[in-house]
Amino acid sequence: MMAKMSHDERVHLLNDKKIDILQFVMNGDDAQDYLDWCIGRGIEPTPESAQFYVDMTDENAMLQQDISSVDDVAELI
Amino acid sequence: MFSYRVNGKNMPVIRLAAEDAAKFQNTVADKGTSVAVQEVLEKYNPSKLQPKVPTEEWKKANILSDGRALDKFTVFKESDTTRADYGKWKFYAQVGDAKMSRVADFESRNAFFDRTQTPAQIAERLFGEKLNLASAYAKYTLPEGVDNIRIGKGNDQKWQISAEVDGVRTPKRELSYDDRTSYFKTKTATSDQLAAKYLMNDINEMRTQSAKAERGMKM
Repeated sequence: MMAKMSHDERVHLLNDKKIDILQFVMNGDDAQDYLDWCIGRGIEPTPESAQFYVDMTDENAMLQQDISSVDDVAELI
Repeated sequence: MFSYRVNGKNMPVIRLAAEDAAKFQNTVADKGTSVAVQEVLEKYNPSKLQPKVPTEEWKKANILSDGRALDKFTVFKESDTTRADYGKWKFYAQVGDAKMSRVADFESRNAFFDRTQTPAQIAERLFGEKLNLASAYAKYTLPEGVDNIRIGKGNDQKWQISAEVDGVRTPKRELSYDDRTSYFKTKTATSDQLAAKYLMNDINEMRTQSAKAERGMKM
Protein backbone atom coordinates (compact mmCIF):
# COMPACT_ATOMS: atom_id res chain seq x y z
CA MET A 1 0.00 0.00 0.00
CA MET A 2 1.35 3.42 -0.94
CA ALA A 3 1.77 6.19 1.62
CA LYS A 4 -1.30 8.36 2.14
CA MET A 5 -1.31 11.95 0.95
CA SER A 6 -3.69 14.76 1.74
CA HIS A 7 -6.61 15.33 -0.61
CA ASP A 8 -5.24 18.71 -1.68
CA GLU A 9 -1.82 17.25 -2.41
CA ARG A 10 -3.32 14.50 -4.54
CA VAL A 11 -5.52 16.96 -6.44
CA HIS A 12 -2.46 19.11 -7.11
CA LEU A 13 -0.44 16.15 -8.41
CA LEU A 14 -3.37 14.92 -10.48
CA ASN A 15 -3.91 18.31 -12.06
CA ASP A 16 -0.18 18.50 -12.85
CA LYS A 17 -0.44 15.01 -14.41
CA LYS A 18 2.23 13.73 -12.01
CA ILE A 19 -0.11 10.94 -10.88
CA ASP A 20 -3.01 9.25 -12.65
CA ILE A 21 -6.47 8.68 -11.23
CA LEU A 22 -5.55 5.19 -9.98
CA GLN A 23 -2.63 6.62 -8.01
CA PHE A 24 -4.92 9.40 -6.81
CA VAL A 25 -7.26 6.84 -5.25
CA MET A 26 -4.56 4.48 -4.02
CA ASN A 27 -2.82 7.31 -2.14
CA GLY A 28 -5.99 8.40 -0.39
CA ASP A 29 -8.14 7.24 2.50
CA ASP A 30 -10.46 5.31 0.17
CA ALA A 31 -7.76 3.01 -1.22
CA GLN A 32 -8.91 -0.07 0.70
CA ASP A 33 -12.58 0.66 0.00
CA TYR A 34 -11.76 0.92 -3.70
CA LEU A 35 -9.80 -2.34 -3.69
CA ASP A 36 -12.66 -4.07 -1.85
CA TRP A 37 -15.04 -2.64 -4.45
CA CYS A 38 -12.90 -4.11 -7.25
CA ILE A 39 -12.62 -7.50 -5.55
CA GLY A 40 -16.38 -7.59 -4.98
CA ARG A 41 -16.93 -7.30 -8.72
CA GLY A 42 -13.98 -9.31 -9.97
CA ILE A 43 -12.50 -6.33 -11.79
CA GLU A 44 -8.95 -5.05 -11.95
CA PRO A 45 -7.74 -1.89 -10.23
CA THR A 46 -7.11 0.23 -13.32
CA PRO A 47 -7.27 3.96 -14.07
CA GLU A 48 -10.64 3.30 -15.76
CA SER A 49 -12.22 1.51 -12.79
CA ALA A 50 -10.65 4.07 -10.42
CA GLN A 51 -12.25 6.89 -12.42
CA PHE A 52 -15.63 5.15 -12.24
CA TYR A 53 -15.22 4.70 -8.48
CA VAL A 54 -14.35 8.38 -8.06
CA ASP A 55 -17.24 9.52 -10.25
CA MET A 56 -19.68 7.45 -8.21
CA THR A 57 -18.37 8.44 -4.77
CA ASP A 58 -17.04 11.98 -5.07
CA GLU A 59 -18.87 13.88 -2.38
CA ASN A 60 -18.33 17.12 -4.26
CA ALA A 61 -19.93 15.75 -7.40
CA MET A 62 -23.57 16.33 -8.17
CA LEU A 63 -25.51 13.13 -8.50
CA GLN A 64 -26.61 13.35 -12.10
CA GLN A 65 -30.13 12.34 -12.97
CA ASP A 66 -29.01 12.55 -16.54
CA ILE A 67 -29.98 9.65 -18.77
CA SER A 68 -33.69 9.09 -18.84
CA SER A 69 -33.85 5.93 -20.86
CA VAL A 70 -31.76 2.94 -21.73
CA ASP A 71 -32.86 3.54 -25.30
CA ASP A 72 -30.89 6.79 -25.53
CA VAL A 73 -27.85 5.38 -27.21
CA ALA A 74 -27.20 1.86 -28.38
CA GLU A 75 -24.89 0.44 -30.97
CA LEU A 76 -22.80 -2.54 -31.88
CA ILE A 77 -19.08 -1.94 -31.68
CA MET B 1 -29.40 20.06 -2.26
CA PHE B 2 -29.45 16.80 -0.37
CA SER B 3 -26.24 15.45 1.16
CA TYR B 4 -25.95 12.22 3.11
CA ARG B 5 -23.48 9.64 4.38
CA VAL B 6 -23.35 5.88 4.01
CA ASN B 7 -21.21 4.11 6.64
CA GLY B 8 -19.62 7.44 7.54
CA LYS B 9 -18.68 8.26 3.94
CA ASN B 10 -20.09 11.34 2.25
CA MET B 11 -21.97 10.54 -0.94
CA PRO B 12 -22.42 12.71 -4.05
CA VAL B 13 -24.87 15.52 -3.47
CA ILE B 14 -28.37 15.12 -4.87
CA ARG B 15 -30.22 18.06 -6.37
CA LEU B 16 -33.83 17.67 -5.28
CA ALA B 17 -36.76 18.93 -7.32
CA ALA B 18 -38.49 21.82 -5.55
CA GLU B 19 -41.56 19.72 -4.72
CA ASP B 20 -39.40 16.93 -3.29
CA ALA B 21 -37.46 19.41 -1.16
CA ALA B 22 -40.75 20.71 0.26
CA LYS B 23 -42.03 17.17 0.78
CA PHE B 24 -38.78 16.29 2.57
CA GLN B 25 -39.29 19.14 5.05
CA ASN B 26 -42.88 18.09 5.68
CA THR B 27 -41.97 14.44 6.15
CA VAL B 28 -39.20 15.34 8.60
CA ALA B 29 -41.78 17.27 10.65
CA ASP B 30 -44.47 14.57 10.43
CA LYS B 31 -42.61 11.27 10.46
CA GLY B 32 -38.99 12.04 11.35
CA THR B 33 -35.73 12.38 9.47
CA SER B 34 -35.11 8.67 8.77
CA VAL B 35 -38.42 8.27 6.95
CA ALA B 36 -37.77 11.46 4.96
CA VAL B 37 -34.27 10.32 3.99
CA GLN B 38 -35.61 6.92 2.95
CA GLU B 39 -38.22 8.55 0.69
CA VAL B 40 -35.60 10.70 -1.02
CA LEU B 41 -33.24 7.78 -1.63
CA GLU B 42 -36.06 5.54 -2.86
CA LYS B 43 -36.73 8.10 -5.55
CA TYR B 44 -33.26 9.43 -6.38
CA ASN B 45 -30.80 6.65 -5.59
CA PRO B 46 -32.71 3.44 -4.75
CA SER B 47 -29.70 1.12 -5.06
CA LYS B 48 -28.34 2.64 -1.85
CA LEU B 49 -31.28 1.01 0.00
CA GLN B 50 -31.36 -2.32 -1.82
CA PRO B 51 -29.58 -5.47 -0.61
CA LYS B 52 -26.25 -6.24 -2.27
CA VAL B 53 -25.78 -9.38 -4.34
CA PRO B 54 -23.23 -11.55 -2.45
CA THR B 55 -19.77 -11.40 -4.05
CA GLU B 56 -19.61 -15.07 -5.04
CA GLU B 57 -23.11 -14.97 -6.53
CA TRP B 58 -22.19 -11.82 -8.47
CA LYS B 59 -19.12 -13.45 -9.99
CA LYS B 60 -21.00 -16.62 -10.96
CA ALA B 61 -24.24 -15.03 -12.15
CA ASN B 62 -23.36 -14.79 -15.81
CA ILE B 63 -26.05 -16.93 -17.42
CA LEU B 64 -28.72 -15.15 -19.47
CA SER B 65 -32.37 -16.20 -19.50
CA ASP B 66 -31.89 -18.17 -22.74
CA GLY B 67 -29.01 -20.17 -21.24
CA ARG B 68 -26.17 -18.37 -23.02
CA ALA B 69 -23.20 -17.22 -20.97
CA LEU B 70 -22.25 -13.59 -20.60
CA ASP B 71 -18.56 -13.95 -21.40
CA LYS B 72 -17.53 -10.43 -20.49
CA PHE B 73 -19.21 -7.46 -18.88
CA THR B 74 -17.44 -4.28 -17.91
CA VAL B 75 -17.82 -0.54 -17.58
CA PHE B 76 -15.74 1.96 -19.55
CA LYS B 77 -15.71 5.63 -20.45
CA GLU B 78 -16.14 6.44 -24.13
CA SER B 79 -12.85 7.90 -25.30
CA ASP B 80 -13.62 8.49 -28.98
CA THR B 81 -13.92 12.26 -29.26
CA THR B 82 -15.83 12.01 -32.55
CA ARG B 83 -18.74 10.16 -30.95
CA ALA B 84 -21.86 11.85 -29.59
CA ASP B 85 -21.53 9.84 -26.38
CA TYR B 86 -17.90 10.85 -25.80
CA GLY B 87 -17.07 11.00 -22.09
CA LYS B 88 -20.06 8.96 -20.98
CA TRP B 89 -19.85 5.79 -18.95
CA LYS B 90 -20.86 2.76 -20.99
CA PHE B 91 -21.25 -0.96 -20.47
CA TYR B 92 -19.53 -3.46 -22.72
CA ALA B 93 -20.87 -6.99 -23.05
CA GLN B 94 -19.67 -10.01 -24.93
CA VAL B 95 -21.82 -13.07 -25.55
CA GLY B 96 -20.07 -15.59 -27.78
CA ASP B 97 -18.99 -13.67 -30.87
CA ALA B 98 -21.44 -10.83 -30.26
CA LYS B 99 -19.85 -7.69 -28.82
CA MET B 100 -21.91 -4.70 -27.84
CA SER B 101 -21.84 -1.52 -25.82
CA ARG B 102 -24.26 1.17 -24.81
CA VAL B 103 -24.45 4.16 -22.53
CA ALA B 104 -24.92 3.14 -18.91
CA ASP B 105 -28.23 4.57 -17.77
CA PHE B 106 -28.56 5.90 -14.24
CA GLU B 107 -30.19 2.77 -12.82
CA SER B 108 -27.69 0.36 -14.34
CA ARG B 109 -24.71 2.47 -13.33
CA ASN B 110 -25.84 2.49 -9.72
CA ALA B 111 -26.83 -1.19 -9.76
CA PHE B 112 -23.33 -2.04 -10.96
CA PHE B 113 -21.60 0.27 -8.51
CA ASP B 114 -23.68 -0.84 -5.52
CA ARG B 115 -23.77 -4.49 -6.67
CA THR B 116 -27.55 -4.68 -6.35
CA GLN B 117 -28.05 -6.48 -9.68
CA THR B 118 -25.93 -9.18 -11.27
CA PRO B 119 -24.05 -8.53 -14.52
CA ALA B 120 -26.49 -10.88 -16.29
CA GLN B 121 -29.48 -8.89 -14.99
CA ILE B 122 -27.96 -5.58 -16.09
CA ALA B 123 -26.91 -6.98 -19.48
CA GLU B 124 -30.34 -8.50 -20.03
CA ARG B 125 -32.01 -5.16 -19.41
CA LEU B 126 -29.60 -3.11 -21.54
CA PHE B 127 -28.91 -5.53 -24.37
CA GLY B 128 -31.96 -7.81 -24.31
CA GLU B 129 -33.26 -6.94 -27.78
CA LYS B 130 -29.78 -6.95 -29.29
CA LEU B 131 -29.32 -10.43 -27.83
CA ASN B 132 -32.77 -11.47 -29.12
CA LEU B 133 -33.96 -12.48 -25.66
CA ALA B 134 -37.66 -13.21 -25.23
CA SER B 135 -37.58 -11.43 -21.87
CA ALA B 136 -36.77 -8.16 -23.64
CA TYR B 137 -40.02 -8.23 -25.61
CA ALA B 138 -42.33 -9.15 -22.73
CA LYS B 139 -42.84 -5.45 -21.96
CA TYR B 140 -44.60 -4.81 -25.28
CA THR B 141 -48.34 -5.47 -25.19
CA LEU B 142 -50.77 -4.67 -27.96
CA PRO B 143 -54.02 -2.86 -27.08
CA GLU B 144 -57.42 -4.35 -27.89
CA GLY B 145 -58.81 -3.72 -31.37
CA VAL B 146 -55.45 -3.95 -33.17
CA ASP B 147 -55.17 -6.92 -35.53
CA ASN B 148 -54.26 -8.10 -39.05
CA ILE B 149 -50.58 -7.43 -38.42
CA ARG B 150 -48.49 -7.58 -41.57
CA ILE B 151 -44.73 -8.06 -41.67
CA GLY B 152 -43.25 -7.99 -45.15
CA LYS B 153 -40.86 -6.33 -47.55
CA GLY B 154 -41.80 -2.96 -48.96
CA ASN B 155 -41.06 -1.72 -52.49
CA ASP B 156 -37.68 -0.55 -51.22
CA GLN B 157 -36.91 -4.15 -50.12
CA LYS B 158 -36.90 -3.11 -46.45
CA TRP B 159 -38.80 -5.17 -43.90
CA GLN B 160 -41.81 -3.30 -42.54
CA ILE B 161 -44.66 -3.81 -40.10
CA SER B 162 -48.21 -2.46 -40.10
CA ALA B 163 -51.53 -3.39 -38.50
CA GLU B 164 -55.21 -2.51 -38.56
CA VAL B 165 -56.54 -0.26 -35.82
CA ASP B 166 -60.30 -0.60 -35.54
CA GLY B 167 -60.31 -1.62 -39.22
CA VAL B 168 -57.97 1.13 -40.50
CA ARG B 169 -54.38 0.28 -41.53
CA THR B 170 -51.46 2.07 -39.88
CA PRO B 171 -48.48 3.45 -41.80
CA LYS B 172 -45.70 0.91 -42.40
CA ARG B 173 -42.72 1.12 -40.05
CA GLU B 174 -39.30 -0.33 -40.77
CA LEU B 175 -38.10 -3.20 -38.58
CA SER B 176 -34.56 -3.15 -37.18
CA TYR B 177 -32.10 -5.92 -37.88
CA ASP B 178 -32.26 -7.10 -34.25
CA ASP B 179 -36.04 -7.31 -34.28
CA ARG B 180 -36.11 -9.14 -37.61
CA THR B 181 -33.70 -11.67 -36.15
CA SER B 182 -35.85 -12.01 -33.02
CA TYR B 183 -38.96 -12.58 -35.15
CA PHE B 184 -37.73 -14.74 -38.03
CA LYS B 185 -34.68 -16.55 -36.68
CA THR B 186 -34.76 -16.92 -32.89
CA LYS B 187 -38.57 -16.55 -32.76
CA THR B 188 -38.29 -14.77 -29.43
CA ALA B 189 -40.52 -11.85 -30.48
CA THR B 190 -44.13 -12.18 -31.67
CA SER B 191 -45.81 -10.04 -34.31
CA ASP B 192 -48.05 -8.62 -31.56
CA GLN B 193 -45.01 -7.53 -29.55
CA LEU B 194 -43.33 -5.97 -32.57
CA ALA B 195 -46.54 -4.18 -33.52
CA ALA B 196 -46.72 -2.78 -29.99
CA LYS B 197 -43.08 -1.70 -30.17
CA TYR B 198 -43.28 0.03 -33.55
CA LEU B 199 -46.88 1.16 -33.92
CA MET B 200 -47.99 2.52 -30.54
CA ASN B 201 -47.58 6.15 -31.61
CA ASP B 202 -49.59 5.49 -34.76
CA ILE B 203 -52.25 3.58 -32.82
CA ASN B 204 -52.64 6.35 -30.25
CA GLU B 205 -52.65 9.04 -32.94
CA MET B 206 -55.27 7.21 -35.03
CA ARG B 207 -57.50 6.69 -32.01
CA THR B 208 -57.17 10.34 -30.99
CA GLN B 209 -58.11 11.45 -34.51
CA SER B 210 -60.98 9.00 -34.57
CA ALA B 211 -62.31 10.26 -31.22
CA LYS B 212 -62.03 13.89 -32.43
CA ALA B 213 -63.92 13.05 -35.63
CA GLU B 214 -66.62 11.30 -33.61
CA ARG B 215 -67.02 14.32 -31.32
CA GLY B 216 -67.18 16.57 -34.38
CA MET B 217 -70.00 14.55 -35.90
CA LYS B 218 -72.04 14.74 -32.70
CA MET B 219 -71.88 18.55 -32.60
